[in-house]
Amino acid sequence: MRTQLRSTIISGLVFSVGASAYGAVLYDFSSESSGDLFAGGVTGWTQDSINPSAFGQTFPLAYISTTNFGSGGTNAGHLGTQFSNTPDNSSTTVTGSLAVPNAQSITLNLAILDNNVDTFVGRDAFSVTVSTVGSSKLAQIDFTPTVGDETLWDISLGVNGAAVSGTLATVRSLSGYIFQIDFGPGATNFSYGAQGGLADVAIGSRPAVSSFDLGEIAMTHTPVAPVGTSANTLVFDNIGVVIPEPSSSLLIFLGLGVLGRRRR
Amino acid sequence: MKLKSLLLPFFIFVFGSLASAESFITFGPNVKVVFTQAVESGYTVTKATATVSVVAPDGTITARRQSEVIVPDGSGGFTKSVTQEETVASPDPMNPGVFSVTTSTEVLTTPLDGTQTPTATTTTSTTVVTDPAVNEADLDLPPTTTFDPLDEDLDEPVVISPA
Repeated sequence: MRTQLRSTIISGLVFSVGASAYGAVLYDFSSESSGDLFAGGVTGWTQDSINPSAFGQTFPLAYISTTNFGSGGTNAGHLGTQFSNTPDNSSTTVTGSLAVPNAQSITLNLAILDNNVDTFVGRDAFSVTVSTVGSSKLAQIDFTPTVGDETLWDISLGVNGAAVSGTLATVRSLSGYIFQIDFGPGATNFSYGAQGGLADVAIGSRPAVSSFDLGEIAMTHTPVAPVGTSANTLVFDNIGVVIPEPSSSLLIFLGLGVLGRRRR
Repeated sequence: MKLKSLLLPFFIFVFGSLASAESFITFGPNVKVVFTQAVESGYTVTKATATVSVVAPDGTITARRQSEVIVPDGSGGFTKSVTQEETVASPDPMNPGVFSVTTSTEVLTTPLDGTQTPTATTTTSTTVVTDPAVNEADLDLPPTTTFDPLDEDLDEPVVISPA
């Protein structure tokens, strides 16, 4: 599969973040269509499990649909059991190519959709993992259902493939957030905030990652509830990175990637 | 909680063809198909089930459940069985809380080859069971697999330092 940066970026591929840093939105899914499936239908992404089929139709586990993270309804990635589930209750992961060397940080919008008054009372876990090109885990954010509150998910953090550890932070279902992971030489800092704002509330800090070269980002749905009893979804959008002053060659590479993508 | 319709283009794309082909249940943004594993004829297979329910103004409850399972036939092919079960519970106007219940079950069986292409016509068997007096507490209607579609607009959370 071609490794390519997807960008539609709001107004150009790379924009200045500070005196010596630049940011780029790599995936906002604006070139996709509502209903596109991550199983072969979303450029730059793969899905590790097969969408179940019945009655002559496929029912998706991960797809593009409209979500409003505060700036109007736009395409976003959806992963979970809103309309389907794996028959054996196995997990589903969708993975997007990043190919970003020497990243300073990565940001993305996230939300968990779950109607806690519907007949599907089960709730599941989700995670976001940033890895190297060789799929070595660098940073991970886990969301697990909060015990005693059907509207909250607990946040756990991990780096370098080590087991995640809990935080005091939670996210509320049906709410939009922005998350940020800062890759520092001495520590990896995780923060979040409300959609449309800054990720300026610290969640936790973990040791420095083993590499600043990002190869891929993966979203995983891990069933916790008994099979077929949940209807919850992780929504993700506006995945962006910040890199130090990019070299001219990197800028050219990024620019070509964008031009290629915008021709679709 | 904000619940209203959305995802219309998505469902037209994904489910549109099915709605015309399978009219027993119309799949759309409010129907979830539940996939489970089942053991049929010694094989572990995937079973898909969807159930919808409608209550008419006169109190009549109509529940429709459709399930599908494809089982190896032991000789390289498969057998697809689609079960369409409709239960109609009509309230007895003379006896509040009592229903007349009729359950019609059709089983459509289709032999398939190794690529799951039909090799013969579908056969249908139908059974109808009627119980003229069932207490409401004993209706035992199948649980629906429907829900209200979620709004595309997300709530603005209050994010404060967890520490």
